[in-house]
Amino acid sequence: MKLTHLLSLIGVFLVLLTVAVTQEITVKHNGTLAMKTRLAFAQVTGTVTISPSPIVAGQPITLTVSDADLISVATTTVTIQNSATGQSIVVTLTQTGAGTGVFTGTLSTANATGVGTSTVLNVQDGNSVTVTYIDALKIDGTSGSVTAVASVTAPATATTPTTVTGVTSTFLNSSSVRLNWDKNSSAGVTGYKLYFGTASRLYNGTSAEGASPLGFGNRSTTTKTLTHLPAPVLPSLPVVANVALAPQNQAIAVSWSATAGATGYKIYYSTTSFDSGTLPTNPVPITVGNTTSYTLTGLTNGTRYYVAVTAIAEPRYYFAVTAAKDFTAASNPGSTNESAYSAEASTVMNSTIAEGTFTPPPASIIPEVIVAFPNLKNEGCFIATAAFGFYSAPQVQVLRDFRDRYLLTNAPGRAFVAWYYHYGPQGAHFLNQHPIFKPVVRLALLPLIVVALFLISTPVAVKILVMLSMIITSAFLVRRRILLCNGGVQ
Amino acid sequence: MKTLILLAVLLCVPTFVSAAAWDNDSPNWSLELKGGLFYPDVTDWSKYYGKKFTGEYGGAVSYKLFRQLEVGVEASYITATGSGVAPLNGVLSGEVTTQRVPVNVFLLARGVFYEKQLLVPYVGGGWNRTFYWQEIKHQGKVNGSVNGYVGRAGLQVLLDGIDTDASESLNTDYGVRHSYFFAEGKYTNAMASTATSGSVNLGGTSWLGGFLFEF
Repeated sequence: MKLTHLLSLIGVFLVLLTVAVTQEITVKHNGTLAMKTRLAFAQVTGTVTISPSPIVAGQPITLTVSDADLISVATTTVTIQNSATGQSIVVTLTQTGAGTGVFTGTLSTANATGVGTSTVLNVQDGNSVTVTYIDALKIDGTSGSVTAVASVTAPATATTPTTVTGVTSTFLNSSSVRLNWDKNSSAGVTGYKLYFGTASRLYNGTSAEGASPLGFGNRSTTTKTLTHLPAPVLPSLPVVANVALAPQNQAIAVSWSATAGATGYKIYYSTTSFDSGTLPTNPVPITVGNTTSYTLTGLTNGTRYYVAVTAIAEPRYYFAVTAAKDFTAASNPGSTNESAYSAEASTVMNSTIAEGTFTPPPASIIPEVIVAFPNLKNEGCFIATAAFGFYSAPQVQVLRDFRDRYLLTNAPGRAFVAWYYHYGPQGAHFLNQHPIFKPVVRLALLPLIVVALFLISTPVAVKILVMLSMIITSAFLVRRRILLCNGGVQ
Repeated sequence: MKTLILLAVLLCVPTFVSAAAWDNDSPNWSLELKGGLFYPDVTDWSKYYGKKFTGEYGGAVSYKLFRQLEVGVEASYITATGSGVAPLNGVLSGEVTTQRVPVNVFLLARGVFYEKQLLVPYVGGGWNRTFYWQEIKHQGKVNGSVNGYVGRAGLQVLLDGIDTDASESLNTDYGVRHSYFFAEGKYTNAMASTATSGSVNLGGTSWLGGFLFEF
């Protein structure tokens, strides 16, 4: 074969190859001319994407088509549709650079229901959005649609993280404390801030790990140890002001004003007076927390008691934890960056306690039975009420009247009433628990009710007459019995 | 002034027209729901309970013997919390809660002469039984009940005309012939014995407002 023949064959081959891969095509999109180009490369199936995915309702979205078949056109189009509302918009995408085959465009969305305008797509949380790109020349030589689907989420709101729970502090040594808390699952939380100090809600402490507030950790962090905490300086405690006593039945209610620097109070009491140099130890003084009232109980009515209150201060550290979205940023508890303070935890750092004094003489008062106003009389008749089932039953009222007129007017009667009021409720409770006995009790009470009714509802003359009749009848019956015993006839 | 008083008296005097004389839509029952202030008839009440009055809430149901005369039962609830007294120390102390439930059986005359009468005066009274409970915190409680009497008078305003559709619906759906707003004054006397052999009136004066539904 001559060289010329060989070159001719090569030329023919090249021509055929060029014809095979280079062709001019026309693509119509939605009935209109979408593109007309000469394909100079191997055919490729295009792709379409939505960003961001999921779509945030109300935020703009970016649509991107990537198709190497389209290098020579400036724009292409896609159709975006909200399947929930049916709203459909055709969006024109622009090639990002000559010959790149990558086309992008943006579309505004609105966080709204219904169908929006021709340039704004209405979407809401839970909707689904589909973007469709018509690829005129896919890799298999056919044309067809390429789609991408994205869900819609609600826009993020600026919320405060929830309050940290389960905060506890554990004493390690006189300068170290370990804090524990529950993991906080609020959205956006990346760590925690630890507030600490030597007074409640006054977080100005320092430690080897840093000063308060101390930011650290990640969402899963649930413990932190603080070391080299300076020993709390115990304050000089003033006299507790406004100590007031209120008498109660076998008790005294004590109240006072809060004292600056106090972490608790100590209540001294005695039946004899005392001063600051002879504080009573019997009864043992009562230590209470950071409160301003306490009730002394178990006291004897009618006996004067002397009471004094002193403030005490323990070397205590107080701690609170917040969950933070950005624990490095300066923010206040309860802001959008940081949760509110947790419940406060505290730890006593050593056994040294500061105690204030009081100004003698101590306050005094007599515990006693309190009298209500108006001082109403108890009309409860426990067993009879239980037996007859109703407080205002006439039979119960009869017994009540009998009590008032014949029992409460004399010492033995009052003693009986007192005894009955002590044990009567137990009997009534038994009857209510065992109602089967109620008819028996009603029957047993009947003679008493009849006698009571007779006594309270008849004039004195009738009572005397009936009494004389009973005496005469009794005497007659006794005499008759004696005669029978002595052999007499009936 | 005399004319007004005479007119008021005349309005209060019921004309005992038989129910049969009224049309079939005349109501047979009344239901009152009311609330207001109760001023105890006890000297020094405010010294122990902080103010001269306390709340009272209650209701009444009654049957119309005639269009202008009805007999019924009324009950209300009154409670107040205050202090007791420590006699040895001579100071107020403790926490005392006094509750009462006055139950009244009453006869009431309403000055209604035609069904669409806008203003209807009424007056009534009857027997009272007042149940009481009194608790001294951490100490104990007493209870009892006493008899007494009650009288009350007031003025009711017909509400049917405000929303005729609503009033017709009430009539159709629930049988409510008429709805009224009313304001009344009530005096209760119920003498109870005290633990110190004295007595005290558990009643007092009430100023109440509420709604009356006639069925």
